[in-house]
Amino acid sequence: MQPTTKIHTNGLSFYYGKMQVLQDVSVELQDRRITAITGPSGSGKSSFLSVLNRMWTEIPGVHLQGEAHIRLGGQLHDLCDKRQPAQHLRRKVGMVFQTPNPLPMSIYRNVAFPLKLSGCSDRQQIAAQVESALRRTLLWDEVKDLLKKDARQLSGGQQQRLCIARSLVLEPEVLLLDEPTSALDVAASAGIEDLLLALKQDCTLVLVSHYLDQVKRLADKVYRVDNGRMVQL
Amino acid sequence: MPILSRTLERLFFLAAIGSALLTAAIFLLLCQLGKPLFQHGGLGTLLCSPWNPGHGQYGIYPMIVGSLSIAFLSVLISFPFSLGCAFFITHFGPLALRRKLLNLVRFMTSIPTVVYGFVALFLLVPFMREYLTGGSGLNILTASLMLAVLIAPTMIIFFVDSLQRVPLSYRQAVDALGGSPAQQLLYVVLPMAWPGILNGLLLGLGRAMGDTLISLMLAGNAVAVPTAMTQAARTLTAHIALVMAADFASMEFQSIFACGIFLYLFTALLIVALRLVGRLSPRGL
Amino acid sequence: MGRLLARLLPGFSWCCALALTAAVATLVWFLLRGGLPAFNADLLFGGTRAIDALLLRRQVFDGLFPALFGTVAMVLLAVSLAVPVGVAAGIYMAEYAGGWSKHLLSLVFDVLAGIPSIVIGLSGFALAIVLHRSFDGRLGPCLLLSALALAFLVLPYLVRSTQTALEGVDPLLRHTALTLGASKLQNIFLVLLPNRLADLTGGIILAVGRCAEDTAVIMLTGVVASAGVPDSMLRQYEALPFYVYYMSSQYTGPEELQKGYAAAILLMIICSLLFVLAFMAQRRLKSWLLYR
Repeated sequence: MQPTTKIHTNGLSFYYGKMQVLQDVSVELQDRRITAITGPSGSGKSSFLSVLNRMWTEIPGVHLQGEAHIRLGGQLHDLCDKRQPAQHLRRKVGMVFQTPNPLPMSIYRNVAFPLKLSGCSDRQQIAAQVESALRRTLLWDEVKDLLKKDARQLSGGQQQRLCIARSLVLEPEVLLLDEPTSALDVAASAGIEDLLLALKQDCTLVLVSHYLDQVKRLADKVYRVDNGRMVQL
Repeated sequence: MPILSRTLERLFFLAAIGSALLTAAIFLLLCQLGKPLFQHGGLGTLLCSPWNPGHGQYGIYPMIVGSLSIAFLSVLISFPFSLGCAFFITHFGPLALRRKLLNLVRFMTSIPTVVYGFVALFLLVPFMREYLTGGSGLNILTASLMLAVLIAPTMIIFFVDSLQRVPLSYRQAVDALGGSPAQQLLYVVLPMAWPGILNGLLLGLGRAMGDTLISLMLAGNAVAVPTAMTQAARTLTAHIALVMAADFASMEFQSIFACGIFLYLFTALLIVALRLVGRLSPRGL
Repeated sequence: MGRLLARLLPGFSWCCALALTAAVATLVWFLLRGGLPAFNADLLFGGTRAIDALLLRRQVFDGLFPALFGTVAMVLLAVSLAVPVGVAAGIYMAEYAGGWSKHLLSLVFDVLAGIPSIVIGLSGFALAIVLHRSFDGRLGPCLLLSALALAFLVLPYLVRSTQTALEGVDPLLRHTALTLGASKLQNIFLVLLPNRLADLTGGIILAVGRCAEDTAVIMLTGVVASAGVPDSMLRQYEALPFYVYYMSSQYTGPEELQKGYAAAILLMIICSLLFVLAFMAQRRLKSWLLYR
């Protein structure tokens, strides 16, 4: 595995019960690049993402075959081994969903939540990190006076940027994005796209999208999933 | 932190397993305490012989007959009635009244059983005595009538739930074809909802069988095998409540454990039946 | 046949709805008519001064206060015993159990929920007999025994309501904290439970109501017609539902009967208040607690 390779799979198959969702997937994703994955809906794009942050272990009936590794902080982690703890990995591999999923709490507490989970209790440090995450997603100026408000009162685009900020607050090395703009209008989508290009500086991004023009604008490398197989375009 | 979480997770497990084991322990405890009775005459005599302590007969047959007849009669009365109320809530009532009736039904579940019994004792019993059954007014029919009211909310809520679960698109399809609400109900909704209806029916039967207070207060508690609806009868549950006063060691006292075991097994069978009903898929149209 | 049925069905349905409403209205009217005259200052405390009774300085002999006190004490005791176990078991069922063990456990809890309450009372009583035989202790029927039996009676409701509450969490929300690096327990305590607090509280309040109205369990495990306010958990006690039952057959004059009516009204008010509370909790509590 090359030092610039962030994620690497070899002959990876994904089974949901008896149904095979992904078949013999061998890919290499480069560090600090945007890799896009396209394909018809239901073809297994999201399943592939769930391998990368080990969320597959939370879904009953899923099992994997083959190899999948991720390099975090210079160390290789085996993604297929169900027994390894997932929490530390997930703090370094953030995820953003298709529908914005702010937790039912205030804006501030949403962004501070991952810090709380990892056991951080220094209030000043939390406040500083929340502010910096919100600034990175260009949300700070819009919400700095509303931090105590319920996060679900924000607009769709703002909610999605909030969710990205929430993932960024732990300074992840990889960010998984599952159709992050498909629930948003055109203007909000453009904002998110600019943000993603900026994030490329310090993050490896894996973007699932079925908008071909979006993929063209953003991606450094494109894979297409079809009938459970992944091919590079 | 890991130690704390490990401990907590173990506590969750213990709570679940402990509660389940206690459920089994109840059964064993009842069997243990009822053992002298089984040795005395065997299961067959116990279930089939009459209750006659004066002659050394401690069979619970009359109570079984009493329980079953009161429970089945009340379900028989309550079923069409509950179905009618459920139809009102899902199909025939004016929209403003549907919700109100459903809330009334929910409210009924919060009325204590003893209050139902109390009111029936001073309202329904004199009525039955004067106009319908004669005698003391305490009989199977009186108890069944009140029990029918008591179990109606359980049935109605289940019926409404299963009727509403039929996909809206099917119902709209009938509406679009010019069908009346009644036709929609008869030809589309009911055939699809019947496992849920059966479910509610069995639950109602379970409640009727397990109720103590209504039959204790209204059924007259006679220990003879009843032969008509207008006769007094004693249910298994009422028998348990009535015999409690007796001496611990007597055979009379031990017969209540037989009642307990019978009720326990009846419940277990009913629950298994409910599970089987749950597996039934609605018939295609 | 089908056509005739379709004609008759709406009318029949209206009749049923009217009959049901009439039945409930009659019940409430009859109770109020019989019991309202007894609602006065003496109903609860009889001849004793209210403040003396409330501070337990003096026993009340001709009021409902001991029965009310017994009911409240018993319910609090039973619910505080049942809630921790029930919620913990519910969490296990929703988040940890799987496969055949989950099926088996939920079958057992369903059976437990279906066991007639008098049988639960009987087993409470049986437990007292066994303890009596093996330890020669003096744990006869008492408040504690009733509370234990009642706790067991409502346990399956608590397990089931906790389980369905947790299982009802939207999958996206369920996975949100996990993708942010939450452990399973963190997810349960920081996201899932707070999010379903309203349902949990509703379930607990309904369990309280179930305890408060039950008569069959307590009549086998320690309630008596007159005991005054118990001074320990190992004493016999009075309770409202049993008072209603007792008065229905043992009243000696119209005045006592009127008190029976009043007790029935009081019990019904308590139970319907709890019910309304549970109903409101499920709607309001969430917004009240979570969005501070």
